[in-house]
Amino acid sequence: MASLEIRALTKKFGDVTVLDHIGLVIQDGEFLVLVGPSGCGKSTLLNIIAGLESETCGEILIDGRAVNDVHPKDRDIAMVFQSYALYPNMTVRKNITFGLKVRNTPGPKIEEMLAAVSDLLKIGSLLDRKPAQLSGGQRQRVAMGRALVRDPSIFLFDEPLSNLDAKLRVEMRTEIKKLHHRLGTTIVYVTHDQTEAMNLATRIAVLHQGRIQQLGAPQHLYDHPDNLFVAGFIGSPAMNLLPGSLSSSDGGLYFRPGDGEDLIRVDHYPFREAPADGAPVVFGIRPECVTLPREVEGQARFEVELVAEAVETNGFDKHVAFAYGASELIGRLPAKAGLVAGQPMRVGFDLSGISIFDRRSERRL
Amino acid sequence: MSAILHDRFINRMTLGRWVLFAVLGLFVLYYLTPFYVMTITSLKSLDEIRDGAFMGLPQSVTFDAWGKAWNTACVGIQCDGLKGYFWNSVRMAIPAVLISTLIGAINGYALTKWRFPGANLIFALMLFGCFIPFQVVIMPMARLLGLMGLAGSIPGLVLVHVVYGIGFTTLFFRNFFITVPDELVKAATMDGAGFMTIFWRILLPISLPTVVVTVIWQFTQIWNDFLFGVSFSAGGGQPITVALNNIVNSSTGVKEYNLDMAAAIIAGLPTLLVYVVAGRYFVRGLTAGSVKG
Ligand SMILES: Nc1ncnc2c1ncn2[C@@H]1O[C@H](COP(=O)(O)OP(=O)(O)OP(=O)(O)O)[C@@H](O)[C@H]1O
Ligand SMILES: [Mg+2]
Repeated sequence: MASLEIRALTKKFGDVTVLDHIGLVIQDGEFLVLVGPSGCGKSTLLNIIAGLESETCGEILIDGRAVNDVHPKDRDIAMVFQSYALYPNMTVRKNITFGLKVRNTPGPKIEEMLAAVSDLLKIGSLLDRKPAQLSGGQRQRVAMGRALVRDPSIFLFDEPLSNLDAKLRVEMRTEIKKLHHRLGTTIVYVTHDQTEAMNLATRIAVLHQGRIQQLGAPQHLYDHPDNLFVAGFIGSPAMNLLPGSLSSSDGGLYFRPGDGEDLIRVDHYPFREAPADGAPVVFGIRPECVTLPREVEGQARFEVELVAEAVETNGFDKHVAFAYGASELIGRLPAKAGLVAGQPMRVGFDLSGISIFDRRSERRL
Repeated sequence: MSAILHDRFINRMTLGRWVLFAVLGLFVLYYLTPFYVMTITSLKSLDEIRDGAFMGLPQSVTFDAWGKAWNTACVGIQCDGLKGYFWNSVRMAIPAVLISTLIGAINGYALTKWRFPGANLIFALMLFGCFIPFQVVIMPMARLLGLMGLAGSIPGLVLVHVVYGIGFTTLFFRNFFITVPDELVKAATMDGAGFMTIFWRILLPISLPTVVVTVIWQFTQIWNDFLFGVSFSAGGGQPITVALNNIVNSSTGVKEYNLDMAAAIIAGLPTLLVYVVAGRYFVRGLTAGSVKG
């Protein structure tokens, strides 16, 4: 087990800056999930931590020791790749023990570790098969086994579940979570699936345009996104974002949607600093806070009549797209709610969990 | 199940298919006829050849010509048959094939999986090397072999064939290894394996079909080579292709067709053998990488 620190890490490919002064401290035993859109440099960061790719500048520290010049094999890190990268010419047994053999681990010890890992991952019956004779889920387990057997102090996972079908993905997600509870090893896990991130992480780092946009506990990122990118990225369906402006009248502070007459009271919102009157802002509200008026509890509420344009049902609740001025607003209504597409209906906003962003800087106010 | 499939297949033997098979059959005949004539001629006595039918089977089969070709045929002024030259070719081809294949494999591996600055340029130059005609390199090569003290020797010929073959072997292996995901090498690196361990334990084993293709290609090239052989060897150190030429083209005495044919078949048998033994992999190797998995 180990802690991991990344200091001012920059990576350029030619003129393109993929990572720009990344700083990150990962505690011993933490499960850090790196999320971000495709091509934002997640794999690159992981490869640099592993030592498979060289940094342009910056430092990587493991347990406080700089490892920039330490060979990948001596960093005590194991990695699971997106494509699993199992050795196609070797049986499962050899795939798992290859690393131990290369490191001259004594034979009986290898057998012991192999047995432990194949028990843990339930792959005992597959040991004599070649990777080509395994299903996707089984390959995934073997790839994890190959990492686990080395008993490293840090695990790196690069989108390990992205090649699996939806059901298997959820299953393996749970298993990985259990595994982390059991072993307590520090994990850095890359994914671009934010559901996976929310479910697994002790903390999430959102990577975009070479920078960490926000780092924090999953719930914190969900409730208090630091900027518009994070607000749009975390959560599914995504947060509703309405452009408009702030205005104060009758001693209250209101949000006025860009093209509407409505005034939504936002007095209760904990502004980080007092906003200017008339400031252009983006108003963010989660779909679950746009629902039937009777579902909304508490004082901070707003009601309006809207037309439901499209309705999707998943059995548990209904996702409804409302037209609100020029914007579209997604609401989550109880499955039992009777509503007809095209008909106007009363909709309540629960304003207790809103987010307000500066429209120019895109930062949370 | 397979019977049903088979029936369906038969049902689809349409006109187009018949034409296809007819054309293919024609090609087979076209290629096999010379070999047939050579074989039957080599089994006839000289008298029978002189007054017999060209295409007809031998009236009495005799292996005299084969024995003579192997043991006593005159190559130039030496009359010891082909056997010495055959072994010359073996001693030349086997090391040259193995060394050039191995170097090609390592080159292809380094060029794709350990990209260094200038890797593309080096590959382009090697590719260019494939297209340099034999004739161009003969003079400089002769000079170089002389300087190295290898002129007229079998190690000299091995060197020539290795150098000339590396361009091709590198091309074959590079094109295969480029289809192998880099993550495989990354995984092995994290497992603690170094450059050579990864090559021997993982990359070389998975490139077996490419190895077979390369070996067949190189063996055919090197065994059948005449120009380098005639340029860089002398007397008893010549490869079999040169000796065969000297037997067939000797202008003294009667033309012994049965002897010539037997000698030609002996000279061609090893390549035939390599195709038969390894041909299964050859086709597989040529298409390797075109289909994923
Ligand atoms: N060897 C390279 N040379 C040049 N550019 C590269 C190289 N490797 C990666 N890049 C670029 O760096 C950026 C980040 O790539 P990276 O693979 O880290 O993305 P990612 O976040 O892992 O994306 P994904 O979610 O699709 O896996 C991409 O824009 C990619 O084009
Ligand atoms: Mg990636």
